[in-house]
Amino acid sequence: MTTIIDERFARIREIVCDVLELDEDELTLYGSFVDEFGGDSLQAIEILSSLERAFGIVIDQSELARMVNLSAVADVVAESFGKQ
Amino acid sequence: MTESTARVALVSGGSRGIGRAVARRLAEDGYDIGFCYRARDDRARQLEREIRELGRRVLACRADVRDADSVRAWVSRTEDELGPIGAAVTSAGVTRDNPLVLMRDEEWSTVIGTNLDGVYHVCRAVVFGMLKRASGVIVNLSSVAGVHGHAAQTNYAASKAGIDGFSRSLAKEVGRYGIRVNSVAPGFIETDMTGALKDHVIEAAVGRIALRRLGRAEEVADLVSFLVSDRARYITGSVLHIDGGISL
Repeated sequence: MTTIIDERFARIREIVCDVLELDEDELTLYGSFVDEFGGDSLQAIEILSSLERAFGIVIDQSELARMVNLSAVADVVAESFGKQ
Repeated sequence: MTESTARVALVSGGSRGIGRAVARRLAEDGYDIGFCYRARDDRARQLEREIRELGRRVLACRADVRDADSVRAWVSRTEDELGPIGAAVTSAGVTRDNPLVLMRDEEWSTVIGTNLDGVYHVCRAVVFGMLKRASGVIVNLSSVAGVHGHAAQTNYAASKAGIDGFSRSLAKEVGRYGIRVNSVAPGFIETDMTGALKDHVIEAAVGRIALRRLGRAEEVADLVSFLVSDRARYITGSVLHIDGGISL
């Protein structure tokens, strides 16, 4: 189970880095995508759609506002798996 | 079928006037059509039949564009039954003409609520899916009244000018995600709306139109058809006038 979660987190990190054009060692757990990594609010859409495709989940539009850092994104994905 | 890959078009205010002509024209172009209407079941059923006869799928829903929940339910049902929405055309509109000094609050709020809030509600409901797919086209129907103003139409002109500003801003916001947004500003078009005008108002308007006649809803639909298609792939944030030269 832990391995699956670790693999999922690694994939999330990879997707976020890809969208924000960051090296993986640059991205921190709680660093704000907008304030610390130069992202913008609409890039959360790219992250969201990439996560949906990667994991076969559906993330509600209302979750966009929460997806401000890596930790929050991981929480949203975990909750989406929980709803399935 | 146009070159667009998405095959579902959403049209608000589809049962009458320009919206009806747009729904029919996009069906002829190969789109399946989801349209909403406010009151006229008989006209909606007639349009459904016409679109089915063209070989396209169609879903007509009664919805009040002033109400966000009503619009969300309509859009959601359309996506569930027809598929992802590739094109959205907002055409629902009303007039409540009165000189400002006589205008009642209800006349102001009905027009702003239907014409401007309605555009916000529809666009808000479809843009999330379009952003996720990085593809989509929105065409909002505004009016020459929003550009030049029209006496006794402060409410209508304000709503339509608002639509143009809304469309330009949204175009800037979502252009990099492959979504185009334009507005179309018709002049005097033969519809129920202009049919309610007095003869002398129509005659005066025709006298100011370079082409010396009212436009037809089908002519506006032709322009919308073009804007929705890939032939217009480099056009966004524009307000396209279709008014027979009344602006000249």
